[in-house]
Amino acid sequence: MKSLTGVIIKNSKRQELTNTSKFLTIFAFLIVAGFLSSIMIGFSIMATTRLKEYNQAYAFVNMLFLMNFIILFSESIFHSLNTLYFSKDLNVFLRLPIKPKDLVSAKIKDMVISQYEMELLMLAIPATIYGIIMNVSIPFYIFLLVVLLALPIIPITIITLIVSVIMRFTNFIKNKSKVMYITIAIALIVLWFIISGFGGKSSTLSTSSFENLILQADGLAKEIANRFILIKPIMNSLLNYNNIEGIKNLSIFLIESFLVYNIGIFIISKIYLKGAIGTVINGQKFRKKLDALNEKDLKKKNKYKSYFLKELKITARSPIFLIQCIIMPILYPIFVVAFIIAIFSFAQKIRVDIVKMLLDLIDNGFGYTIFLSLAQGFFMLNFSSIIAVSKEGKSATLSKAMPIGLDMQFKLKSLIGVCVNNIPILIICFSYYYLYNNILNTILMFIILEMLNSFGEKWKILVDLNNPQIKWNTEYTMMKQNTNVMYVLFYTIIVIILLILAGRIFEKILYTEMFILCILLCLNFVMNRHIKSKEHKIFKNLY
Amino acid sequence: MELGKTTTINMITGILNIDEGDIFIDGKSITKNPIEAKKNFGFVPDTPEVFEKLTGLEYLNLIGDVYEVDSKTRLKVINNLAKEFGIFEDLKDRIQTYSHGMKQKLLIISVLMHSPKNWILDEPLTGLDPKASYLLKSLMREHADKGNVVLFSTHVLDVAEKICDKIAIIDKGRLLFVGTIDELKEKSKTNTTLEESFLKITGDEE
Repeated sequence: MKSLTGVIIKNSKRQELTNTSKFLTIFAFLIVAGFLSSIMIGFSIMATTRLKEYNQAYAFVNMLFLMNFIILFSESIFHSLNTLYFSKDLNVFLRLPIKPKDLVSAKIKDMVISQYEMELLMLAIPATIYGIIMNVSIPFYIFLLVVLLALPIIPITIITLIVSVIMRFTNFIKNKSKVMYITIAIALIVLWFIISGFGGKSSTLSTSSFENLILQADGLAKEIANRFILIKPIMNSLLNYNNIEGIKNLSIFLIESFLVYNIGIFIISKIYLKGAIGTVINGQKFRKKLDALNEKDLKKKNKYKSYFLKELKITARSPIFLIQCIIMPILYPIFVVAFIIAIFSFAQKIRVDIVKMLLDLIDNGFGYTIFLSLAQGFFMLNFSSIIAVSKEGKSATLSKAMPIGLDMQFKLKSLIGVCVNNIPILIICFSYYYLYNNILNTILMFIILEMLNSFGEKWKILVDLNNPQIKWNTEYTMMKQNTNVMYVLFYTIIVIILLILAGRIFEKILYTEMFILCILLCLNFVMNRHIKSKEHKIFKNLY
Repeated sequence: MELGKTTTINMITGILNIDEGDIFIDGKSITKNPIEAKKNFGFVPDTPEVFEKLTGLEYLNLIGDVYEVDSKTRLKVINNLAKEFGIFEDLKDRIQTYSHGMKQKLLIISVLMHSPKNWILDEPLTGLDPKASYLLKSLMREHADKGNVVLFSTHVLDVAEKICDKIAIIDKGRLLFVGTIDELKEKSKTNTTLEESFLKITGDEE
């Protein structure tokens, strides 16, 4: 059993990297991890110190746990689908005399362990900062460690259970892809119910009740805990780490996790193998029979248009690619802008005019580059170009034998990313125009962002081509283990630093705009020339 | 065993960069004039890795568009070959649901659709059923008899002996022999099968 878990974990982590790639990846990882940790540390210090002034510091820890719990739930949908149903090791394991319970347990453990990296950055660092600022004693950190180790168990087991129940229907529907889409849709609906439906209270917070909460010590934290009963024991255990209430809540949480894990594994193992066999065998029996063809079905199209459509279909027909390359890059900016608007209107409601304060403060080159940086941050969340080549797997090499120039293929591959990034560009430009009402600066911002977009997407493809991840087993593992993503984070950090520096140095918006515009014109020119003249070298590692 | 067949074919087709020298296909350099050179051949790789998320028909249309094949020709080729190979009814399914042999057949149809003068096939018979294998061998022979070129790699020496006009033997990346079967037998001083001649030549080199 132990060895089975070990094999599954090793298999999911194994990557083929050259020594240079390994070194560069570790270097990029350290830079990115260092940067993200500093952001988390800075953010944690700021949030904890501010909230401490109002006696609400613990609300910060609660919000962190809430956010991570939601992320864990949503990520588990794809993780369990890919680990339990679309993993190629199923073909091997199903032939071996392994008990279903052992296989399910090993796969769930693999999923739980893989969440610890994210927890380290998103929870362990901020919670430790909170602990240092609040000068908590050792038991807090022990409680924190126990909570972090057990935290992924409930979300992963519950979601896996839901996924297993739905995937059981593959035997009847006989179309693996269709069942997968249905599973994702149903699991997301269930997730919505879990997040909203578990709330002990569903009423909205009025200004007066908010003021009352602020007046109580840790009133905000208690309110959050009451609204999300599923994670209430975690929140209460850390809040009361120094008394019996804390031990009681920690025990409740651990018992909950133990029960969910064991009952979950028992039920999943009863239905898993039938569903898995259904996925492996019956999932491929569904056919759309072609009776006859006519010339309309085979209409000639422009070869570039056809190539671009191929790119689009490959992206849109894989749920994980569709989400990471199209849906999320469009939804993220909308959510973030909606969130900022909500904060501003709430601030106005409690008579704090942040908008005016902020607008006056950043009506300069620095402020202008904050808008540009925000857009660059959104571009980072778009994965279409960083997997433009890798997404095709081994068939990517086939493109090299096609009579379409490699430079043209390169440009066509960047098109999805460039188009999708236009949504955040429009949102940012519209927001800027709405706030400052300056048409010239808005137009220039649009041009700058388009150039930044074009350059960035091409840069991502260069990274992908330098170390193409074409030997993957499932789309999900390719996305999750793709070390190239690290370079995108690295690139984003550098670009944001340079943009902010330019804003700080030039101060006046017009000078900042002109400087960035000139630099981007040169960079785009050099990039296009490089792609054209070094096309063979650029595609060298793709074979 | 790494002999160098796929590496050679990958260099001819432009998938692998060439360290030294050049490769010309109908007078067009694969390094200096790659697009024109690529128009002159059709390629079937050793592992039938095709864009899995497309349907068979979408893939054939993509190849048709890339090689600028008109719809009448596409219709004719697909109707004939897809039916002969037994995959016509499956063309509306995604390639990810195809078996190894079906993918191989689809790739072969896509190559034949734009009727290039030169066919380059890397282990084309692997995974094919006997009927499809026979059909492909006949098509290859027919194409060569018309004065065209069919370059294919194989481990199965019986096949090479039966259908090839000329053979080349590569071992560990070195070209050991190029010529007709008779010339090979003469060189290896054997008068039996290609298999024995091959073993003699490669054994002598070691």
